[in-house]
Amino acid sequence: MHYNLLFNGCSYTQGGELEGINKDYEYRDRHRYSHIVSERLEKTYDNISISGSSNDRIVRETLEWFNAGNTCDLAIIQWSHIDRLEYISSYAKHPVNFNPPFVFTGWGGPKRDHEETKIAHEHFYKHYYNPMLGIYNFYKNLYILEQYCEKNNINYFMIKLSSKFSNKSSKLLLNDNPEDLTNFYWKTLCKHDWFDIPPIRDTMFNTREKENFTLNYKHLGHQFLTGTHPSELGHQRIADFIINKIETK
Amino acid sequence: MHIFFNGCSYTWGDELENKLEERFSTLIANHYQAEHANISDCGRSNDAIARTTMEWFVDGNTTDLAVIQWTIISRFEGYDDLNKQYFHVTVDKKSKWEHFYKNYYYDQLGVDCLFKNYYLLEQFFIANKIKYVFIFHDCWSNTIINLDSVWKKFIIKKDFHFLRGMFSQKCILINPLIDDCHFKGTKGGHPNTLGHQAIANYLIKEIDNAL
Repeated sequence: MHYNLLFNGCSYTQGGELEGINKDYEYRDRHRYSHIVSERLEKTYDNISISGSSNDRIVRETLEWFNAGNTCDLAIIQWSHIDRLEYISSYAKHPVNFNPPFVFTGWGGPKRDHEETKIAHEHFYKHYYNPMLGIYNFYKNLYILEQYCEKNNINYFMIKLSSKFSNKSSKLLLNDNPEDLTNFYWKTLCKHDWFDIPPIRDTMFNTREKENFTLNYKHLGHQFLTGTHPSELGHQRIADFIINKIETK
Repeated sequence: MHIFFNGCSYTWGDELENKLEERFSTLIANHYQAEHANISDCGRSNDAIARTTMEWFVDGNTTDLAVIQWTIISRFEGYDDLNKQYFHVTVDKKSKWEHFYKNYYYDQLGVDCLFKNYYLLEQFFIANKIKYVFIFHDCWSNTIINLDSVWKKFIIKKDFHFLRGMFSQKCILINPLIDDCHFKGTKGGHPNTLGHQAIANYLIKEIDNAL
């Protein structure tokens, strides 16, 4: 199927928390930035983002989307935290996304699978992962995506979640500072650089302004409604930025 | 003509008495009267093979043909943040990585890692108009063939060549390059001079097809 625009990313692109305590996912879909951009530009679109996504998943499923015969005029890819990783769960053989604080399962797998995946997750961050491997993996994914898009004449535009390399809940905070980094080999081959990709947070909207974020309902027992995702206003500001980029381009 | 080789101990020529003369990379280069570079090393993972290959090109080198020998899928590459260097994660170092293999690793991850790196190098070679021949270490070849991988469907060349046949007759996709007699005289399971000659003979046919 042909769409004018394709969006892929993590919860910021999925519209995380816009559904509110009423779990109104239709409302979420109509107020997230992908819808706003498409509506204002009078374009058709598909949004295949998933909350908690790693960059591994974002790249893999973008390629799979095209490979399934879909086409678009412009792919808008939102990169996620670099310390997330896609892991194929050993028991159910289902992809899950590792995040330092927890695992995003996204499916009702069997208990045994959850247990084994949890052990793998703990081991991965405790004994194997470090920020350099995260950066290494980011550039590898960036290279794959760029090569695929260039080879198949796909127009693409990239944004990233944050200027920081990792989730604030991990201890692996690296700010945007090229001098901190080894000149990775995949990076050398990439057309883009992490530092050139505009971040949503603090570029498209100010993270100090509360109105840009959803309300926090955690105290009411809503574990995933913590007020850490863009509100309707936040999404409008992201949309403003993207529309401006598209029109300038 | 220039030929580039990368791989693990098989390509490095481990256990050969005169590895620089006897390993299959030299035999192939001699056959074509070509210049060659063999940057393989013992214990390398598929991550490391892809990385060091790309580093070689990033350093400004170029070649007409690349022969990549993918290795055992259970190997991974880690990064020592303190000493700023990569290291091998391998079952050979049981005491150090026992928990990694017990709690994290299983074959699906190894196959996915292999084919993601395969896809990366294949795309790089195609984009840069470099001919390439890929061969596999024979360990886990059953797994490589039978396990599905998301990256497997994106690769172009799907004719898998294994360094030696060591599986049951059910594995009809296997191309045995060298039989067990070619391993006599070696202790660690690496090919001897006859083994390297057999690999070279096989690869020359593949290279002729690729050129």
